Amino acid sequence: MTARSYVTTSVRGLRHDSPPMRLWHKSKQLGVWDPRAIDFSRDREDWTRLDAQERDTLLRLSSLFQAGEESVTLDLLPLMMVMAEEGRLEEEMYLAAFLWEEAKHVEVFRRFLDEVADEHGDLTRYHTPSYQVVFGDALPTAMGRLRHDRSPVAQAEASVTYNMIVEGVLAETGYEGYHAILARNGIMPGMQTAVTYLKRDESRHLAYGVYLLSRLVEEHGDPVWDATQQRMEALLPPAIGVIQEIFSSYERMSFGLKLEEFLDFAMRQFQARMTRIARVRTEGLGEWEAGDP
Amino acid sequence: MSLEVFSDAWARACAVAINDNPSYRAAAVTWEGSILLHIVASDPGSERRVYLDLWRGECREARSGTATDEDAARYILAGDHAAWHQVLTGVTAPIMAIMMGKLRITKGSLAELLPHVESAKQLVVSAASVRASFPGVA
Repeated sequence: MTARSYVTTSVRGLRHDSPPMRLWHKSKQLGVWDPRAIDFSRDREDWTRLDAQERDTLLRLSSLFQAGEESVTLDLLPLMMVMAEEGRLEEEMYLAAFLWEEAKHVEVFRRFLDEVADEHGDLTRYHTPSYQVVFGDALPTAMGRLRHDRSPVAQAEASVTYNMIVEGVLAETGYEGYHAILARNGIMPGMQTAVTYLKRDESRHLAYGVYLLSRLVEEHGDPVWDATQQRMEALLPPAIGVIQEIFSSYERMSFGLKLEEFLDFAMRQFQARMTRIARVRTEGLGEWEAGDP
Repeated sequence: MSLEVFSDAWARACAVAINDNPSYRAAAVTWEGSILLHIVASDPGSERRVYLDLWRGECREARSGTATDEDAARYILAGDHAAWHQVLTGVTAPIMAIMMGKLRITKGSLAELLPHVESAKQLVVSAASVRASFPGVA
């Protein structure tokens, strides 16, 4: 029998200054919030005062977030298994926190549906064609592939799908818009609090995704960079399609929502992340080792 | 012989290539409207424009353009020489160039262009088939 080796009992120890460990430490401080502790009593009162289209708009968005959070919770595990099998203990530790946070996001949206919207029916009518492409096909396929293909290209394609497209273009943009609706109209303080927590959690998840892609590009070069770009190119149209289909569902949007505002935000964030990943090709991972997250 | 990009001869050669590309024809059946491609440069003398009149899978007109074409164009895409070089040689897809901010939509909107991502790609594939020189790009 070969003796198993352990990093934590070796001279290497835990790399507390590595990006995933820095995120792990942040998660322990900032990710500890309880969906059950959020007070939704004012939210329920506000809900009853909304008109039919306003309620439908919030229900639509919540149903997209709810199913999206369920998807990312169910689909993350193969990536954790890859990190475990590659012996990347720090990344696996952070991904454990990541998964725990996603599970809380599932819980908080179900609380909203049950206790604020008092909605117990089937909401799949809100899951439009582009949404089905991203969440019903692209995400589970890319993540599920990691069970039998752990190549760097497969990892990059999974991360682009999960982190850059689903969390970056869709969740982050969606939560930004959702929070803006509630804050601008001074409604639903409970949900405003929940979305503030969600946004904070998601920003760490995105930081991990950008780190993972940067590390893969640095370690494996052009094949990973090319695959990253091609995957984004393929998924940007359906991802933006999800946003467009929300807007095209109504003749006139409630809450003064504007499509351009959503798209501009998505583009700005996407651009900043891509620029950071691209920088690794010329400058290496030095910036990651020195600075945030 | 290669043609200088954004020259009148290059634009006309692109029109032939576009009309010979069955994939473009298929992808662009719902595209209606002209587009002005604009090379932005700090030296106004290095600025270039190409005007393409595209209608349901067909390129009806292609020529080098001027600033006066901006009114007639439904969409304007602008970027520097390096950005256009990357796009027209297939290094960067048009949608990626837009999302990365290398190309900017200065007339029209991303929301309007997105349903036409595949036709934009085929447009570039057609243009890339024309042997071209890129002055000023190392």
